[in-house]
Amino acid sequence: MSHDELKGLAEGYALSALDADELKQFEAHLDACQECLASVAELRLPVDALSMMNDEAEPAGNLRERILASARAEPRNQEQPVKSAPWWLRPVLRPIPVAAVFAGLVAVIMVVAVWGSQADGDLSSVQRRLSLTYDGIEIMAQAEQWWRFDGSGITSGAAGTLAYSEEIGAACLLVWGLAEADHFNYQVRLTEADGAVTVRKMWRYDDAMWLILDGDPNLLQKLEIMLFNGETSPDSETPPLPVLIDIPLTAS
Amino acid sequence: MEELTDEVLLQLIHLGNESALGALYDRHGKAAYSLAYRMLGDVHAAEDAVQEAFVNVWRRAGSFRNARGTARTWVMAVVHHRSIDIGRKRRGIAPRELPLDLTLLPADSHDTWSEVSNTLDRALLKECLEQIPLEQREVIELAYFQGHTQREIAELKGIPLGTVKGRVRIGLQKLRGLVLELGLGGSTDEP
Repeated sequence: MSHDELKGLAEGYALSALDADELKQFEAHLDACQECLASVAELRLPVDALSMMNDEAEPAGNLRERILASARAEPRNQEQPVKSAPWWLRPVLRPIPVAAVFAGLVAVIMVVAVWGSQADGDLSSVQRRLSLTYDGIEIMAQAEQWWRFDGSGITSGAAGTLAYSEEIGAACLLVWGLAEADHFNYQVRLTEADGAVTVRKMWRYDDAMWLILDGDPNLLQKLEIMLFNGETSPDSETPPLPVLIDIPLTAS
Repeated sequence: MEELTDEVLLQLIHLGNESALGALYDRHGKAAYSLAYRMLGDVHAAEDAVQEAFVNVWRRAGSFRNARGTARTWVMAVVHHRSIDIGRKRRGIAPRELPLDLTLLPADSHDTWSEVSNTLDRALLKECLEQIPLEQREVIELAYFQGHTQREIAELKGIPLGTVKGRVRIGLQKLRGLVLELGLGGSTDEP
């Protein structure tokens, strides 16, 4: 098929109305043709509109429970679900004293932490991951304050959210849509007025990154996460590290 | 869970959190069911389609990529595909091979849907579709809501395949323009 013929399949593709052969050819073509990819992307809006213009119908009351029961019965090809983590893996959440270790010493303090994110497979890794995600979910469930990031300040293709629970005294940053190529080590830099916010834990999970901060993120002026190549000392000033996330937060 | 965005819910679902799946259903279950019911015209079949679709979401939440479109678009695409499969099976038509993963496609550069979806309601969207000439609307409805391929529509209507494709193309272009005009106060990128 010529390019023009293939381009003529974009609308059928967007409506899921191509024959099997056409679909196969068009999907292969999409891998290499930005023009057709853009055409299909533009068709998202009318197709979305079609999906939302239907008269409202009420599903049976038990459909929700049926869905959850089916999901529960599904085998999952990943580690044990967070909700069923044994008690001995769950960390005790406790409010973190907001005492500022460096208060009054300097106007701006950089807190630096480096994590390796490649320790898959062993028990301690799984335990750490479960513990972290449990903490994160706990904070999100009780959060009173939210920030959302999906454009400037975040590496291309990523988005994130920061949730703060005053009651727990901690915040959880979740960033998703990170590229596989970024799957190495990270350096976190918090810029703040008095050192009252510290990094508790951090974990990379597929395309998502979780970070738990102890303290009130309102005290932060800036939160940055950079790639660390594992060879350069995190304290080294050169070479400049690629910035994945650069979130300016206005101190309250 | 109310405060969490759809995208965060999908992350939690990927981690095996059932409450997140319940929250996602609470948010989009009715729209999903409404679409499935319109496509299938049967309560039980529509429920099956929605159930299978959400279980697919449970299985494949990890494959969702935010940069490729919204979570809502993704969920509705899964429901649409399940409804096509179930509808064809019920009518004794061979099942179709459907796009495996719509999330591989880039989002519309204008990310218009997130803007318009907050301001438009179903009635306005329906009005947009009704403004499209009947012959264009008909082929779009046969494809999207009835799950027919363009080739099947050509046979069904006794018209050339090229004509079907042309009508679909012009109809979707018009629909896009109308939705953009409606949602963004006439600010569109249409030529």
